[in-house]
This record gives sequence, C-alpha cells and structure tokens, in this order.
Amino acid sequence: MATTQRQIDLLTGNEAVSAAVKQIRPDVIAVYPITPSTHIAEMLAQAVDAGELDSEFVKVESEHSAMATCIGAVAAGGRAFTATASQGLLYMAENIFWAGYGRLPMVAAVVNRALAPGWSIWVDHQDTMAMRDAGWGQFYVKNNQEAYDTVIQAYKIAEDHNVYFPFMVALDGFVLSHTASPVEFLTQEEVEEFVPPFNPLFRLHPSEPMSFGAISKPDEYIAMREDLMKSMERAKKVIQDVNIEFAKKFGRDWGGLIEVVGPEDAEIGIVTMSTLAEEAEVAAEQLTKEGMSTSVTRIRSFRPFPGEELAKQISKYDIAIVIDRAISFGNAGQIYIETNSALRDYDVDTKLIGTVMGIGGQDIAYGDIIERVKNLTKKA
Amino acid sequence: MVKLKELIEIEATYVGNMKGNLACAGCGLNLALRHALAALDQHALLVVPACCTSVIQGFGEGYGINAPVFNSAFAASPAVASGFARVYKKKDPSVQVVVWAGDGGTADIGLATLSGAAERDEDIIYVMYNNEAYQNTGDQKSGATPPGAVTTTSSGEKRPSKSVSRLMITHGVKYVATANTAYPLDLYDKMKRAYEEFRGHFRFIEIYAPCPAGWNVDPRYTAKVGKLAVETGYWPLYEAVDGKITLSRQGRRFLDPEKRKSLEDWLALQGRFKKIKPEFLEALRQDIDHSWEFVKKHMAE
Amino acid sequence: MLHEIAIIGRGGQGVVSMAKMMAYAALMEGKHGSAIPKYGAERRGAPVISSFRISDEPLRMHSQIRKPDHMIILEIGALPKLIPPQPLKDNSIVAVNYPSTPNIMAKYNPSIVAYLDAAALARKVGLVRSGIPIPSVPMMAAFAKASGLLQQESLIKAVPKLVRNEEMIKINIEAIKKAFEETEVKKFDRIEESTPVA
Repeated sequence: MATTQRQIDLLTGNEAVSAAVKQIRPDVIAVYPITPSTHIAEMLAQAVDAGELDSEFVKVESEHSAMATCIGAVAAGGRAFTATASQGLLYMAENIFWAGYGRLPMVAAVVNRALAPGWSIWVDHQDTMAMRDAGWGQFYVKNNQEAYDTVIQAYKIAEDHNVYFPFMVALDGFVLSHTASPVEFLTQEEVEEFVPPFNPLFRLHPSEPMSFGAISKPDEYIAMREDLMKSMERAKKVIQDVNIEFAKKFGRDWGGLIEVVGPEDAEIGIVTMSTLAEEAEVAAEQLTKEGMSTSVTRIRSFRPFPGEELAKQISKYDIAIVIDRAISFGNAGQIYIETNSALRDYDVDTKLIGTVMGIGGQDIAYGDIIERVKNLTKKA
Repeated sequence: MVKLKELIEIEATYVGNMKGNLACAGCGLNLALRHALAALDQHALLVVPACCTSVIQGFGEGYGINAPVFNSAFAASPAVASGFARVYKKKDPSVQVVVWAGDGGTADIGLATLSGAAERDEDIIYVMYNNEAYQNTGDQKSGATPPGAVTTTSSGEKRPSKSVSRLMITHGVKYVATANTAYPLDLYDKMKRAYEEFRGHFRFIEIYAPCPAGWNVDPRYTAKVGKLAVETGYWPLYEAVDGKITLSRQGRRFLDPEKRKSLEDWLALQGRFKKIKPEFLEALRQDIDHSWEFVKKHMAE
Repeated sequence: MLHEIAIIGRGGQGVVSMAKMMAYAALMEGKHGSAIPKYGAERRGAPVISSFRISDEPLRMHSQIRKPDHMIILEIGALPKLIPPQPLKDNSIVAVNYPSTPNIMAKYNPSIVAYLDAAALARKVGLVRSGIPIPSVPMMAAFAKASGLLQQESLIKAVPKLVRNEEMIKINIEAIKKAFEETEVKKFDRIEESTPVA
C-alpha cells in the first residue's frame, strides 16, 4: 500500500460519484436532471461554474440528448460522462445502444430506480436490466466507496483498447445515492497515474474523411457485432487485472467480476448484486452462526457476464439462492436466468433457486434475507 | 457575391460529394451538399440523422462524401453535434461542426433537440435540406409538407407547413437563412457567411431541395422547379441576423405580388400537385401570404 | 458494538443534517457511522424518521432500522406513528425534546431517558429558522451525553462539516455545550404510566 496520506470524507453515493468524476476530468459532461441522480448534475455543474473543473457542462434538454452529446464528444476524441436513472435511462435508450454498438467508450452513472407507471422514486434494477443488451459494460456496486472506486476503474477499463466500449456504474437509488458513509479519496496524482489520458482508437476529423455508422451490409454488420462480443470476452480479464492493480496500489479489492464473502466450504450460496449483497453478507454470517454455513457470491460485473467464474463458485455449494431486484416478465429474474444458463454451460448441477426481493424500493434488511433463505432451503 | 466562374473553380478543386454516390437522378439535396461543402473549405464535420444523406453517402468502401460524417440517431443530431463542438472548441477550433438533416428530422422528430441546441447557442451550422416529406422512406408526409401535396400517407391536406426557419428566428438564433438549390451562388454565400461571420454561434440554414422522385418531377427540371419556387413567391430568400430579416438580392423583387409568376404553372410541373383541390390551392396561397407577412414584420429598417 | 438509533421528528426540524453530523463525529472518533434518511413525498411538518447506525466495525447494513436500540425524539407527537408503542430492547436510551419524561415513554420502557427542552434552548441560542426553533443539534448532544457513544468535542468538530456560516457555527457549538449542561439523564427499571411528570 502506498504511504500517501489520503483524505476521508463522509459522502453520499451521489457525492462519491461526483468526486470521482471531478478527478477524472471529462472533456464533456452532459446530464439531464432526474431523481435520485440529480445531485450528481448539480454538483458537477457547480464545480464547472466555480472553475474547479475544466469540463464542458452541457445543459441538455433531455436524456436522449445527454447521451447524444456524450456520443459526439467521444467521437471527437474526448472523454465524456453522464448520469441518469429510471425513466431517464429509458428515454436515453436509443442512444445507449448507439454508444454501445458504436464502440464509444464513456462512463454513465445510473442511480437505480424503479420504472413507472406506479410512480416510484425508489430502488430496483429494472432500469439497467432493460439495457443489458446494449453493448455496455455494467458494474453494480455495494457501497459508496465502491461507487467512487468503480467510476475511476470504469474509465480505465472502457478506454483500454482491448475493451473499448462504454460502461455503466449502477448504484442503488437512495440506499446509496442519498446515504452518507465514509469514503477514502485517491489523490489527484494517483487518479491521473492510474487512468492515463484517453487515447482514442479513432475520431472523426476533417483531415481524414470517413463515415461513422454508414449503411452496412450483413457481413460487415456481423463482423462488427462479433468484434463486440470478443471485446466483451477480453474485458473480463481487463476488469480483473484493473481490480488487482487497484487493490495493490490503494488497498481495496472489490473482487473484479465476482466477489465471494463468507466461509470457503459454505453449503449455501446467496447470489445477488449491489447493496442487497452487502446486506446478505450480514445475513450469511448469522446463518453460519446458526449452523447453516452460508456465503455470498456477489456479481459485480453483470456485463460482461462472468458465467465461468460464477459456475465455478456455485459448484462448491449444495444449494444456491439467487436474489434478483428486477424481473423479466414472463420468465424470471435476470440474474437467475443467466446464472442458470451458466451452470448448464459448465455442467454444474448445484440446485439453483431464484427469488425476487426489494423491487419498487421495498426495504430489505438482513433479517428478511435470512427468512427468505430459510424458507427456500426448507422447500428445496 | 461569389461569381459563377469562381464557384466552378472552387468545386473543381474540392469535390465535396464524389461521383457515383447513391443519389437519385436530379437530386436537389446532392447539389446543396456540393455547394455547402465547397463553402466550408474542408473544415466541415457532418452529423447526419436518418435522411436521404444516410443513403447517398454510400456503403462502406464506396463512401462518397469528401468530409467526415457521423451518422446519428434520428432525433439526436443537434445534441451529437454539440458534443463534437464542445470537444473541438478546445482541441481543434478549425473544425466546423455541421448538422446536415432533412425536413422530417428537423421539423418533426428532432425539433426538441434542435430547440435545445439553438437555445444553448452551440457552435454549429444546422442545415435543413427541405424536400418536403420523408423521401428517404418513399415520400410520407412530414410537418414540412405543403398544403395540397399528395404523399403516400396523405392525399393532400389543408394545414400549412411548419416553417422551421421562422421558428428559429423567433428562437433568437443568431443567423438564419433560407436558400435554394437553384440559386447556388446565393447558397454558397450564405454558407460562407454563416461559417466566417457568425462563428461561435448557432446558425440555421434551410435549403429548398426539390426531390424529383418524391414529387413526381422530371429530373431535368430540378433547377426549374426550384427557381419557380422563388419566382412564385413560395420560397422567400432571406437572411436574418439577430431576428432582423434582409431579403436576398436574388429573389428580392418577389416581395411584390405583382412580380410573382403563376403558381399553377409551377404546380403543374409537379406530379404531387396534379389533382390539387381548389380549397388546398387556397390554403397554399394563404400559406405564402402568411410567410411574406412574417418576413415584412421582421424586416430590418 | 453496533448501535441502531432511530431519529424521529418532523420535516424541517433538521433530522437529515443532524444524522450526518453524528456520522461525522463518529468518523472523527475512528468509528463508523451511517446516516440513512427515509425519502418519500416529504413535506414540512410531516413525521419523518431517519436511521443512524454507529459501530466500531465497518457497516454493511443498508436497510432502515425497524427495531431501534435507541431513539432520539425531536417531536414526541410524531413518535407513535413512526415507532409503534412497544417495549424497546434492554439497555435502550431515549433522548427526547421535552421538559420532562413524557408519559408515553411507559409504553416503550427505555432504561435511560434523557430529556431536554431543546426548543427552548434553540430559541435561547438562536437556532431558529423561519421563526421555528430547530431542536436537532441540542438533541444530538443530549443523546451523546446520555449514551456516551459520541464525545462532546467530536460533535463540536463535526459542526463546520455541515454548517458554513461562521456565526451559525458558533451558535451550533454553543447549543451543543448548553445541551450537555442542561440535559437531565434518568435511569429507570420500569417506567409506570403513572410515573409523575418531573
């Protein structure tokens, strides 16, 4: 660990994200306000106004335009950032796919919030889950420190030429975005050393006329999508390497693709994401004390999906409970569906049970998770 | 004003849109693009939403535009252009970002995005080439389709067309101009003026671009149809700086209704108006009157 | 050890910033504090509850506190709606903005009650917003005195983290000091409904 004296402050999730973005210093920040991500826009706009941050802050008229502005900025060889939530992410959707399929690396903080109708400003993961096929990487963080660290890591990963696609950093609305907890900062020098300046693979410029996204014949189109799929595969190693480098330099290890907390030889596994996973760590300790040896397998990177790593970990359990905070209506929770498919791919026969908790902002305490695990394992 | 001989020379040394691009025979927009790119002196970067230009630029290797093009989502171009402009403002101020969009992408689906970029006064030249319907998808009615014109989704309507130029003037846009592919010298000058004189501001130029395929016009008459649009008073040519309109030298005399040519003769050249009903013709005349009233009201002293 | 504290008051009484001030004080003592506001359709005067956890270990819980160990009550009238009347856990501490032990405490049966007329104190030192006394900071101090979970100096040091105005910083510090002096701490084996109002 470095000996540098680092500052610690009490930050909400939104403040943690903004702090990281200020140190990343994007060329362009384009944000449209939406609860619960609005503070991010406010804090960054104020920093630009005050001259603390030398970014172009574009006060766009919609989320669709926020993402479009980021797209233009990255295609010009700039670094871009946006933040949104819920309906805002859905309004952006067309351009979210444009950025993903267009291979325009950038970072978007998505403060997870349920979708209407039935207005709900509280957390669930339906918004980001709806974007899981957009060609973006998706990180789901469990606390404010990880939100800060992951925004910084995400730029390094997205801009890596072996990766080169955009990333979302998803944090739970209110549960993280508005809740204060201690966050340790890296120094500006550390951030700049860890995330080198953006070196674009391509940019549009009059000196070299070319067309971005012109009409493509099926073979050309397929080649581009195959390349995206391969890059997603390559990204897995980059994510792990960046996590290791970060841990070595700054002392915090978030697990890379997945994080396992609890006894090595646990019989029961809880597979989930975000704050539910950290809450589940407490539940697992309690269950283990009560004689039901349990550990938590947290999916940190939902895209690329760590199928192999998950299957390997789950194969150690007798039974695994997957907790989703979103639903693919007509089927099941998305984590459950994808985990189940990974188990089949790698011939793992651990019993897998899916369950949904905490949608529409339902408050989930570790006691609720204990109860759910007990009920489901009893039935199994 | 640029001289014809000069423009020919300029366009001989720099060909903005190359031979063999995929435009239809007699395409008005293709002419507009050539003259516009010539005026921008190889500094243009085009952002193009879904429109005819998405097609005519060609496939992968057959790329036919001698300028960089970013193809954007339909409603996204002014915002994508804002991103480009904000980055190049610092990294290379010589780059002129241009949105090159059709009437549907401007007057309809992209209107809110256009309004946002205009309000922010982004350093962009926005060109709306108006072929008065969704021609890329085969002539469906847009907000800019004139009264009485038959499209594949309308058999002529009474409603006046939406004038985005007038809207941009009332939005407080620094420089707004109307142009016409049949007046290449005027078009070139306006692009040049927008580029050189009003840099750093949002600029909007609406170019009348006849579409022989969609309008059912003999491709030989693209220029003729364009010229008559001015001479009948249908398409006033002007520039507005800070909301004050100045009529262009070419076409100025048609402020006087007495000097205008017959509307019916012009309509007769266009299949889309072949069976125009009297009430639609009346609506079209009223639309023309209305646009001149606006011009007169906003004319500089 | 983990302590879960429910802060009960009404919108506009400074519940959210007080919880954050406590978290800062905890941080300064090398402890871990987490302030979890409950957001909804907030409006001034509506009953609000905020969760505050303090522990020697890093905190991993993100849920609202449902069965608090302790309570800080800024407005006694808001209490029964937010925490149904039933006995609290053993060794529970309640700090209440009231000139005495309120009768309703019998239903919650805390081990320690710290009472302070925080509204009067706030008025006295000038902690007033739009004509309304803000009892949050004095009550934070009252709870700290009764529980010993946070020290007076760290609360004082936490003030400038949330208050920028020099004059207001002085007033808040004055409020903390006065609250430490004026808070009455009473221990109970069992509070009877008939316990006389002191």
